Amino acid sequence: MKRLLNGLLALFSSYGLAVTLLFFLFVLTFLGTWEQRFTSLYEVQRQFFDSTWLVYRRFGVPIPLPGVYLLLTLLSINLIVGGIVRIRKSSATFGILIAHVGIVTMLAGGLIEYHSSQKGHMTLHENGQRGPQQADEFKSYHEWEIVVAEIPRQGGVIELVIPGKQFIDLRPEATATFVSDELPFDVTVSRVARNSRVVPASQARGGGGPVIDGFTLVDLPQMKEAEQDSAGLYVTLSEKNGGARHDAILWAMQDLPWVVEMGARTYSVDLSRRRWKVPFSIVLDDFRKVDHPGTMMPASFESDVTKIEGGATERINISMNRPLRHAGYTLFQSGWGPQNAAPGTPLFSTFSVVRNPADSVPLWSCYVIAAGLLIHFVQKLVRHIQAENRRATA
Amino acid sequence: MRTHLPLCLTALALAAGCGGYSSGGRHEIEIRRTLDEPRRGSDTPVDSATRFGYRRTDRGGDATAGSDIGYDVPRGWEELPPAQFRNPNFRIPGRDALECYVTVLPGGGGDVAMNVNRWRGQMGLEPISEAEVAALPRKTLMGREGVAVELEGTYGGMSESPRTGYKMVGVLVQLPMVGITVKMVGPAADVDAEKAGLESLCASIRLSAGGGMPPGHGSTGGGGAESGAMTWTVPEGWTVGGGGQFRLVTLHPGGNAEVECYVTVLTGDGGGVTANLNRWQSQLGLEPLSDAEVEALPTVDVLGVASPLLAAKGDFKGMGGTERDAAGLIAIVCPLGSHTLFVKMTGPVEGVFAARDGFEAFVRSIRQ
Repeated sequence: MKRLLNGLLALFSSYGLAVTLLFFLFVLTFLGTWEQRFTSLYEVQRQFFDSTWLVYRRFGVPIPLPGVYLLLTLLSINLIVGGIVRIRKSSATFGILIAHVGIVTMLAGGLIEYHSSQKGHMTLHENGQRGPQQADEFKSYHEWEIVVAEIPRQGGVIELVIPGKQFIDLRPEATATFVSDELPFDVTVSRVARNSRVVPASQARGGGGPVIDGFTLVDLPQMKEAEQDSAGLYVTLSEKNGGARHDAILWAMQDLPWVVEMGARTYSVDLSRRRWKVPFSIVLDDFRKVDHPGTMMPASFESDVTKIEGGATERINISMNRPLRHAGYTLFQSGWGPQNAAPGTPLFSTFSVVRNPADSVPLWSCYVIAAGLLIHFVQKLVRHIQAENRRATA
Repeated sequence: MRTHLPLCLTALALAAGCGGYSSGGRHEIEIRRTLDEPRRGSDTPVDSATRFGYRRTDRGGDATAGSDIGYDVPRGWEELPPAQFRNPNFRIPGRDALECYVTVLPGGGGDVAMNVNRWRGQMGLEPISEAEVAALPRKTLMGREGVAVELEGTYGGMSESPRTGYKMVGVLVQLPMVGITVKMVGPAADVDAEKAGLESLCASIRLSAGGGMPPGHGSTGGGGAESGAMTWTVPEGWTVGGGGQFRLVTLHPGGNAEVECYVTVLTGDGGGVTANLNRWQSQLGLEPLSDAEVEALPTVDVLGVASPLLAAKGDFKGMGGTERDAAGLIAIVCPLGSHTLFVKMTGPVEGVFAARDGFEAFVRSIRQ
């Protein structure tokens, strides 16, 4: 047992492991960059950088590779065991030790961001004419969710949410069933397409999936910009205790959710971009854009908003270099439209919303790494000067 | 260690890769979210045609692939319900394999070259270079110069089984912030037989009344013309030219391509009257005007506003790097409060000043 433990410690603290991991990181960085020629950045991140392993196909040859998530996990272990725990502790390695602590901190920050961050957008319309003027939630640019809710005759609604990661990668022949004690039916998902189109069955000419209510879902190639993909899938609600089945197509571009009546109860089922609630509400009061003279290129744009939280209101200006930071969320002024609007047309303002508990970790870890390297460099320099002096006087 | 290392990595990778959701299975729904009231449209069952936008109800919200263009259905053609990226959408009775539709893509859906090569890919053809795209025949669509495409090959379409002996014809035009394509694809003989109908459709496409299309989408021809909320009278002998970024319309006095007169509308003051006049002065290599000199400029009544008119000559250097010696410039700035109207005519000095009367008549004819 002791031999096994020593062997593992030797393995995880070895330079060989570090070099191997760094080599694979280089390979995956290269392949990921190369693949961005053909697919969206989001898909490359999913495939290469968020995965524990992947199969890269080139010239028809499948090449299994470790994913960056696995590699960085092992690299962190290697740094901790080899670069911090087992490293010889002396004044000569003090700077290196600090630098290693900084690197591990940065990797830890990345892990926190990967698992805990939320990134999306909130779009609000002036005057509420063409869309909501007020919102207390924001949507993901890339991720999906299926939302099932019972619609009461009056009062609030409880939404049951199936996150996209549980169905978006479903194999064509597989089905996934989602259950809850709060629902009188099971939700079964199948034939998931990351980008799709719903067409009348008469237009599909044999393509597409099963026909439901005269329509079928046709798979499309994914867009270069993942934000433009329109996911689609088939869903079946199977009433418990052997009851009836209800089938439908859910499509990202649908105008309305699928609403099903089961006896006296009404349920809605929707496929939409993943949503997150924020603990406050934002109302768009006014949006302004200033163009460069003589052009239609915006020099700056800003929004006057009212933040409503716990009954209290606060007027805030959000502009290109002055985001709103509150309750762990940051709202950046990131866009506006319609960009083809005639003068006088009510505009909408888009805020990028980010929640990242570790957003300052990269900055501070860089400081620590720089400090460690500086200490080590100065030590090396002093030793070199001393050695040169000794040689000169010898 | 050397043998252990790859084995460890592989074992870890396989272990970590097991599981996941790609195989399906049965899962508990764990995430709950509360709302104060139901989301829009979630309380009333509707049929699939309504849900997918094939039959719109008056419920507001965002339009998908909505079309603000007008058109005349060619004789013998029938209109289908709009589909994603197909609005309007047509069928030709007796030619069931033929598809014809118009696509309006906010943002353009990629540039013209990209879309030409996308169509070529659908026909099983190799992509062509941007220079080759630029050399393709031109066709006017909605008063703008577009690229005409005619392809023969094996049509794969979007995830359809390949069909040999097919032809694809179409026009692609890129307007500011939006791209418009008209496309017909089907068996080559059917396409050839319906080319006249396609020509008729392209000629009829226009902005619909009160359409929400942006400034810069131009007019559809000479005589009376309109763009968005503005109308004007094109002077006799003047032609409507190709589009450009930020322009409501571009005109050529006497059909002279070297002289161009274009209309731009900017929100706010667009930088101000004096700043823009002096920007034009500097483009001609001239000294800036003082406030007194700006005040002393002649004015033209545009939309009820006495708008200063600048008429100048010099060596022109434009924003895009265009250079011309002995250039003329005649322009007006019309501040309208929430926005500012600019009308500017540039070109060889003789051509510009010969068209001065027409310029003044044109700007006086602008209505909002």
